[in-house]
Amino acid sequence: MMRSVAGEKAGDDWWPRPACGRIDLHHEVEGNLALKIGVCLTRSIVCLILIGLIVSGWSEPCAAEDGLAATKHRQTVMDRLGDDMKAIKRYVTGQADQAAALSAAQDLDETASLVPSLFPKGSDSAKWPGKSAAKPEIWDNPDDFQQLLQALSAGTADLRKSVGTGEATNVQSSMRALAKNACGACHENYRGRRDGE
Amino acid sequence: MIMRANWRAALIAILAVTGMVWLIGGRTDPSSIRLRSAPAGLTVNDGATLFAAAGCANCHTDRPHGGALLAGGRALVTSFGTFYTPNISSDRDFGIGRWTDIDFIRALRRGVGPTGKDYYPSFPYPAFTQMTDDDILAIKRYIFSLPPQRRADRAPVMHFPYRIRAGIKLWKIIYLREGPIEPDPDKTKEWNRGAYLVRAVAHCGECHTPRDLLGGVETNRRFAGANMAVDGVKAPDITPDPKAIGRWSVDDLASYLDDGLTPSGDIAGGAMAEVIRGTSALSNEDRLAIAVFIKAQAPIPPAPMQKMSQGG
Repeated sequence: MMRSVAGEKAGDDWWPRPACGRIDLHHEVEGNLALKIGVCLTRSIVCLILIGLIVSGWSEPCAAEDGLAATKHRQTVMDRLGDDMKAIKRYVTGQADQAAALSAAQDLDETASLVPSLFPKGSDSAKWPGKSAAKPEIWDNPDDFQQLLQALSAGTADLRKSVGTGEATNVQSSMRALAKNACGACHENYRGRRDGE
Repeated sequence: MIMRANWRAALIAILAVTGMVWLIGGRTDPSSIRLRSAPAGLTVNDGATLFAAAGCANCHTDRPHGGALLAGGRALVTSFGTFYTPNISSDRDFGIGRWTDIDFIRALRRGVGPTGKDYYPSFPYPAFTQMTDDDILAIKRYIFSLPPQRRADRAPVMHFPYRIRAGIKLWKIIYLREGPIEPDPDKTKEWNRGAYLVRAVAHCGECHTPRDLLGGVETNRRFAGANMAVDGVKAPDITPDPKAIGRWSVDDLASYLDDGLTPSGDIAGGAMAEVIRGTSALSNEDRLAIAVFIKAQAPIPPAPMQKMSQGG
């Protein structure tokens, strides 16, 4: 208490102004040094807590939730690609007509263009075991992964073209190439398993 | 874990018996193997197809680390220990370049190396033993047509008691039935061809059949899937059970072995993608034969899912 009184007499110079606030509390609470100190301490503590949270990665849970959302989104898109492949295969085996196959091939080609955007960091199986099947190796081998993405876009474009020609053998060979060089090649090294698989 | 500990105790007892077996002359005599017939005119091309279907390169190439073809070194993590596959390239120092035809047949038929060393059954000789001499030698010829790779082998890191190699001799007495496979006269030619490819060459059951604690395949649950095959990855039930591949037609299965596309539109990944790389080298007739044989198996419902040790 003695020190506070001494401080008051010495003016504000001994007490640094709080760096985290714009409002000058010195005037608002003038004359009551105890309150002044209390408010400043509170603000300092709040500031420290906020800094602490940022430093300790408080923002992580948000990014992590994004990773899970991205994982689910990716799986939805992949399922759609699978449905399209299935529809085209029905055409190859004579169970569906060309029009149905063509619409599936178009959808496949367009949906496949989303794939490069489906692998944000933090959506891998190490982070989401059982939920994500995307192996962390994807992010360790970006060049290889890029090549596979290119094989995918080339393969779906080629398949779309083949379905357009209406030649079942063309469709079959395009489909085989796409399945092997893009889908299969990528799944072989970069897809693990989720729970229930 | 308790069950495992009991089994280990049992194993130690069994190993004591093994020592006796070994002493009373249970050793396979490396000189006793004979070629059943003069090798027929199988070409290097036939060997290439068999080599692909048998998946030799899948284990004997460290593809995950960009290893050279057949230079070995791929780590196979199993519940018995970690194996590092050997170099089986044609290199005369590091590979099998000095092996004679008899050496090669003995390795595949009996799991014994040229110096008499017993191989762990992670090398699927219980399957390969069922191949014909001609087919085995066709594979050898193909391997010898590939470039040699200079890479030294690495010893396996086995858990106790599996690290005692003498135990393999007893294992063989229990589980190894020397081939080759005899065709079943009551079945069609196609079924028999499928049986040969599935059992002897492609060795599907090595992953898709569960193993008992001594590492022998459970013959009463053949193809019913293994919760833990290599590297902690589950190999699914491939019997015609409705919960397995019961809804797949023979054509679905045959075309899956070509392009990896399942009836649900999914594309095979992981180890199965490697297998399909091999089966896609087969003829359509051979793939159909495999499908006919698999679809003719007794349906067995898959075992309840166990928690996997890793995502795979």
